[in-house]
Amino acid sequence: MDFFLEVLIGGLLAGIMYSMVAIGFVLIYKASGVFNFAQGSMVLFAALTFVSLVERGFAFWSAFATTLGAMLALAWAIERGVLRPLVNRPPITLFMATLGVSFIIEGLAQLLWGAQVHGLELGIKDEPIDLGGILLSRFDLFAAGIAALLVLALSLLFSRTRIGLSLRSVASDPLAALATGIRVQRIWAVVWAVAGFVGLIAGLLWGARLGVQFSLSLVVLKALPVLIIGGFSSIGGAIVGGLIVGAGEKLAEVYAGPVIGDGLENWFPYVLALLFLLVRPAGLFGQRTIERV
Amino acid sequence: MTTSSILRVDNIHVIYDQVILGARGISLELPEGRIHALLGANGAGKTTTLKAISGLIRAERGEVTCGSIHFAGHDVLKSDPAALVSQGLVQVLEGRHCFAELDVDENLRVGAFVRTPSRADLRRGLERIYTYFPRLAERRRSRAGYLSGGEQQMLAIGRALIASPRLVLLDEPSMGLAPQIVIEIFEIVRRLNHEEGVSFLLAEQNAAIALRYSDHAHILENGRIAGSGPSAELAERDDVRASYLGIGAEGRRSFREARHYHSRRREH
Repeated sequence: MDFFLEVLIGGLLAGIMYSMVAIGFVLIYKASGVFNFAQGSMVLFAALTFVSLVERGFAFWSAFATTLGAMLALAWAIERGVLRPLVNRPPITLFMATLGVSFIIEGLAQLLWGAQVHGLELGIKDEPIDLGGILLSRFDLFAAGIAALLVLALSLLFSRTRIGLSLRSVASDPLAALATGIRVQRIWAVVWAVAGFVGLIAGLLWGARLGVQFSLSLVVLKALPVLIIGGFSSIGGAIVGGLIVGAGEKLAEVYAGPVIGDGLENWFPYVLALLFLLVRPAGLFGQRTIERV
Repeated sequence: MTTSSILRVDNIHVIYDQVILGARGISLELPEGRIHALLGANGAGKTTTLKAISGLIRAERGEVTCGSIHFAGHDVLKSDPAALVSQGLVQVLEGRHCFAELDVDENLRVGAFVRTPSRADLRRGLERIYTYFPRLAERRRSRAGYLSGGEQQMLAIGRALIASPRLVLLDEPSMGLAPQIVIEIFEIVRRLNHEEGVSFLLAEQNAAIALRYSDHAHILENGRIAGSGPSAELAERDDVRASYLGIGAEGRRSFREARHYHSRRREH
């Protein structure tokens, strides 16, 4: 039983890491209907910039602040330079544009910082700690704590501030928001900036976990099943989706892996996602439109 | 241009997606403090005209290709919708378009943001709207998506009013509502006009009610103005009664009479 709990909780904590990437998608999708494939590259760009600055002698916080500045500039540039001129185009056009942007960011990052693998040390040792007989990763607990803070901050932003309320109005009905005098494009810029910030946090945690390398941008592919399960338009959904994916893949690996074969962990989330697409295409928390009949 | 006119539309042409014609040479003038109506069937160009005036047409890939629109001295074609709202020109969209996931209070708050009000101003603004619409006050914590059609229309009008507009463009306020509710809404429009001096330009298919509550009306057909005049006079004209009020000289209108009216208009 203890072993089961250990696998389950370990999986849940690992799943939080997927949620961090998924939240970046949700923010942009909710506010502008764009599926931003470049979110993964933004995660990579943030981690790579941060680690390169640290290696050049920056202290933690000054590297963090500089990277944050770079992320905001990058997010602003994508919104202003690519998506704004394409406004009102079909979703597939916007998706292809972000796909292109994704490769451009990766190329730029490589041009700026080189292609070698970097280690990233956040000062949290990835060692097991014993909680009531269950061994858990200290790093995963730390990451889960950061994720909780991030979600709390975002939900305060959305519910308590004028900018947050404007943001929800744009997500709810862009035309009405425009008619009400909301500067919709300014809101989009804010959303991209917040997504850039989330990308930075995710980049630091993922970078510390896997090492900063180009495969880091592939975490987007793990965020996809999270989004399909949780729903594309809900931050809570991204969290729950991440937990389901994390727990599901670990449990599958440990209990079904020996029967079916190793590496089940890598594709099991997509099986889950497909099942959800068949049964509940909007995801658990996806926008169920309120409609009066 | 008389100094008292708050809105002046001069010979505008509107196209969508660079091909479809939405309005073909529409001109109208609205003196401050009046209620004017645009009448016409589906597709006559009422909504297009209103959206051209509010600048929302550009968000739907439409474009005013020639002509000019001036609101209180501002060149509308050179301003973005948010700037127009802050100058006092607000459109209430056809079909209400409330923020369904937000509650009533939040919907109204969003409407006020354009003025960047202080907390006290915001509270006063909300109270003002709730005195006009007591029904909304009862439901201030309900999500807008769960309100009745009439309540949603009130919310949409309230959300426009909280920005303290000088001119409200009201698109099909009667759509899908019970007759009593329609009268309730038009009575509030009249009160706002009398008590606060708000001007209204409203588009309506329900010509009977629009003519009853407006000072002046324009009849739109195929993107053109086919006739205009004081509402009381239009309501008495046989051709208008036949085509838009459903009352012929000998009783009910027939299709041929309506056709006759259309062809007569075209010869002018």
